[in-house]
Amino acid sequence: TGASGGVKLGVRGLDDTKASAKFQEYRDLDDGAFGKIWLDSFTRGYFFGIEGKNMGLDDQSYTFSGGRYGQFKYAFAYDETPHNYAFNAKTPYTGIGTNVLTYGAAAPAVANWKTFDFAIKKKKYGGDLEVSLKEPFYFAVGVERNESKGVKPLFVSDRGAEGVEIPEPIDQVTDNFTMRAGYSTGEYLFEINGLLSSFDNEYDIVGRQDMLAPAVMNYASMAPENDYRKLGLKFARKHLPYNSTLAASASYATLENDLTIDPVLLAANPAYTRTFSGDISYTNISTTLSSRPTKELNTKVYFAYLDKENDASAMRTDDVNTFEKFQFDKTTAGVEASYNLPRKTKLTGGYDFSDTNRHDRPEFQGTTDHSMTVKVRNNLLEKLTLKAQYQRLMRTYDTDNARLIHLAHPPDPTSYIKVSDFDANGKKMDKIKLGMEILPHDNVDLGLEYTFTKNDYDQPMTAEPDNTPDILENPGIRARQKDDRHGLNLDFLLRLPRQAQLSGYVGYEKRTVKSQVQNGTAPYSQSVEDDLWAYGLTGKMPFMDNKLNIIVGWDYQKSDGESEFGIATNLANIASVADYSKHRLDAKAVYSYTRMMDFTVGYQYEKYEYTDYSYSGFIHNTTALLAPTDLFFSGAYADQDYESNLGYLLVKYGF
Amino acid sequence: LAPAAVAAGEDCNQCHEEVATQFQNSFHGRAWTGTGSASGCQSCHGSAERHQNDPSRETIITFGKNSLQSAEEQSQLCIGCHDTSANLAFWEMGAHQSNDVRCTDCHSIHTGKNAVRQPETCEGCHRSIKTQINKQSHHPIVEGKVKCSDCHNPHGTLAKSMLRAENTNQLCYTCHADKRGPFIWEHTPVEEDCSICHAPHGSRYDKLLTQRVPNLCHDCHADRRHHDGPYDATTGFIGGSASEYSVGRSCLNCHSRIHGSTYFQKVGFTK
Repeated sequence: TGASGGVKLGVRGLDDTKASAKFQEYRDLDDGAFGKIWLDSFTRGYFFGIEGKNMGLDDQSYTFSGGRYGQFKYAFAYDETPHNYAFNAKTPYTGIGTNVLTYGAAAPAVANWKTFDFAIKKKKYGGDLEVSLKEPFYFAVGVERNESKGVKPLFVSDRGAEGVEIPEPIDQVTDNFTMRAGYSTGEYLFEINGLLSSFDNEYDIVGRQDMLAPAVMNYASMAPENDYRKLGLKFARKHLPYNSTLAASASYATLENDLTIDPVLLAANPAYTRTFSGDISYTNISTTLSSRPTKELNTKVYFAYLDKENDASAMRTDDVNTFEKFQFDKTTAGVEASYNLPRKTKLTGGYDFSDTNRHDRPEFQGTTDHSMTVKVRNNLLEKLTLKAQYQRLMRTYDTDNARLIHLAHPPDPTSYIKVSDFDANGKKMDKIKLGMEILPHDNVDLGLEYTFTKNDYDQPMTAEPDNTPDILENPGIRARQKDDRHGLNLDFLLRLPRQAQLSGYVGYEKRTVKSQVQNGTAPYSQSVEDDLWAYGLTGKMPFMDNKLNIIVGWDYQKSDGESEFGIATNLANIASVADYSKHRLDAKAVYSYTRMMDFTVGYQYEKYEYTDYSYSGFIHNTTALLAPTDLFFSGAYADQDYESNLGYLLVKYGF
Repeated sequence: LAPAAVAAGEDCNQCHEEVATQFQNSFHGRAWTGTGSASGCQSCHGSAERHQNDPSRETIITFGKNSLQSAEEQSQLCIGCHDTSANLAFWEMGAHQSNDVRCTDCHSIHTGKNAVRQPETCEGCHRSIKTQINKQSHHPIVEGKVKCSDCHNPHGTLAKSMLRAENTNQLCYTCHADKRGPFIWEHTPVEEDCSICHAPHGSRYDKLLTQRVPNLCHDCHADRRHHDGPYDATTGFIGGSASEYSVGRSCLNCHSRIHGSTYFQKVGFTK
C-alpha cells in the first residue's frame, strides 16, 4: 500500500508588450492563479490516480484512472484546448457566431467594423475501460465526445470581383465509441475491433450579405455531417518455423451522410438535385511475415491493400460540370532483410513496391513506386554507433489521354491539359541519411544526424486536342522540377560535477524547390528556397547542497524563405516568404524548503516575429489597390508578432 | 536467457539499495507485490548466483546501451512475460524492432509509474522531431495536448510509420471529423492522402502546409488562367501590382473549401 500526490499552486503575471493570438494559440497564459493536483495510490494490487492541470483555465485537463494490475483498468478524462486564430479582428457583419451575417442597408466603412476574436474552444471528455477476462480473453470499450465551438476565419468569394473574410461559425460535436475484444496468448492473437463515430454540425451553410450588393445574400457550404463506422480484425500467429510470426489485419469502414441541399440555395434552380447521399467505403488488408531463421538474420515480407470506393448518389447540377466520384486502390508489397555481420555491424536491405490505381483522376490514373533501401549500422566501438542509409525511389505514372482531351475546355487547338501534379508525377528520389551516437565519457551523450533528399521530377506530360501526348513540346506548362532538402540535427547531454548538467540541441533544415513555367507569352522559372535554424540550451545548476536548483533554458528558431525568378527578367524576387523568428527564455529557481515542499520563482520571455510578402502592408479593404476587385479582410494572420514577459511564483507540496 | 526462477530470499539490496528501494514503488514493484506474483530482480536479471561472487556485468543480465546482451535479447526478456499482451502482438512487425530499439530505451523499469514522457523520449532517437514540433505551425504537441502515441503505436503496427490507423487519411479523420466528407465535390489529393499538402509534425508555413500557397497549388494546377502566376514581390499589398490571387491567403482567398464542398454547384471549392 502506498500513496503519493501533491498540489502545485501558483500565481503569475503576464506583460505581453506586443500581443497576438499566436502567443495563446493552444494555451491560456493570462494573469492570475494556476495549479496542478495529482494523486497516485495503490493497495493490494489496485491502483488509482488523479491528475488535474491548469484548473479553471481554458486549457485545463483532468484524468481519473484506476484498476487492478493485470485484470482491469479504467480512465475518465476531460480536456479543454483553445485554438486562438486572431484577436481583435474586424468584420462589417452582425451575427458573429451564427450562420447569418448581415450589415444592414449599406456595407459600413472599415472604421465602423466590429472588433472580435477568432477563437474556438474545444472540449474532449470520455472514458475507457479495459478488462482482462479469464486469461487469455480481453475486451475494451471507450466513449468520447469532442465539442468545438467558436468562430474561425473563412474567406468567401462569390462573383470573382468581390470577396470577404468572415467569421465562420463552428458548433460541431463528434461522438466516438470504440471497442475491441480478443483472445491473446503467447501463440495466437485474435481480435475484433470497431469504431462508431458520428459528426454533427449545427450549420450546413453560412450566408452573408454581398459587400457590394446589399440586396444579395451569398452562401457557402459548411463541413457535412457524417457517420463513420469501422469494423476490424487482427490476427497473429507466433512461434512458427524459422522463429517466424505471421500477423494480419483487415478492416472495412463506411463513411456516409444524407444531405438535403438547403432550399435557400435552390430557389432559382428548382430542377437541381435536392438530396445527396454520400457513401464511401474503405477496405484495408495488411499482412506481414517476420522471421528470424538464424540469430543473425531477420526478415520481413509484407503486403497491404487499400480500396477506397465511392458510391455517392449522382447530382444533377448543370450541363457544364460533370459529377465525378473519386476512388482508388493501392497495393503495397515489400521485403526487408537485416543481417548481423561480424564486428557488430548490421546490414539491412529492403525493397518496397506500391501501385495506385485511380478512377476519376485521368491525368494520373496510375502511379507505381519502386523503392530500394540499404542501411548499415556499426557499433564495434562500444561508445560509438555509426549509421548510414541510402534510399532510391523510382516513380512512374499512367495517364488517360482520351479523358484528358475530354476534360480540356474550352476545346480549342491552343488548350491543353497540363499533367504535372507533383504528388503523383513520375520522379526519382535519392535519400541519404548519416547518423552517429557517441558516448565519449560516462557523463557525455552526443547524437548527430544528417539527411539529404533529392527529388527529380519527370517532365510534365501534355495531352493535345489531337490526342497526341507530348512532353514539353507545348507552352503553358508549369511543373515542379526539383526538390532538394538538407537536414542536420544534433543533441547532447553533459553531466557536470555536483549533479549539474547541460543539454542542448541544434536543428538545421534547408529546402529548395524549383519549378518552371513554359508559358509562351511570359515564360518563367521559380526557385523557392527556405532554411531554418533551431537551437536550444538548458542548464541546471544545484546550490546549497542541492536545496536550490537554478534552471535556465533558451530556445531559438529562425526561418528564412525567399523566392527567385528566372528566365523572365521583369519579375521581382521575393525576399520574405514566411520568415519568422522565435525566442524563448525560461529561467527558474527551485528551493526545497523541506522534502515535501518547495518554492519556485520563475520568469519566461517569448518573442515571435513573422514576415511574409503577402501580408506586408496589410489593409482591410483592397478597393484602392485592386479595383474593380474588392476584397475585404478581417485581419486574421496579418499581424502575428508577440513579445511577452511572464513571471510566476509557485508552491509545491508533495507527499 | 529465459527469466530465472526467483531465488529464495533475494538480497540484491545489500549492494543495490537505492535501486531496490525505488523498485518497490515502480509499476512492476506494485503489480508484483500487490497481486502476489512471485517475481523479483532475478526475473529480469537472471540468476545472481555468479554475480554475488563476481559483481561484474559479465555475470548478470543488464539492460540499456552498455549491456552485453543484444537489443533483441533484452526485449525478448520483457516479451517473455508480456507475450500475452495484445498490444505487443505486432512488435515483430514494427520499425522499432527492426532498428534494435529496446523496451528499456523508452520504459523506466526501476522507477515511477512507467509512463513514457512524450515527446521527450521519442525525441531522443527521432532528433529532427524536436525541431519539427517547435515550428511556428504545429499540432499542440509541445503544449501537451497531443502525444506522439496518439498517432503512432511504438509497439508496432502493420501500417507505414507505425500509424495507429490503416493509412494517413483514416488516422487524420479520427480527430478532424469535419474533413471526412463525404463531399459532393471532392479535391482528389485531399481524398487520397492528407500528407500531400500537410506536414503533420510541423511546418514553417501556416496550416502545416508542406509549401507556401500559391506554390503548393501551382505544383498541380497550371491551366494558363490565373493559376500559374507568376506572383512576384510586386503582387502583395505593397509593390505596386497587387493581385487578388496573391494578397492575404492567396489561392485560398477564393478556394477556401479546398478540402471539399457540399455546395449544390461545382464552383471550384469556393463555396
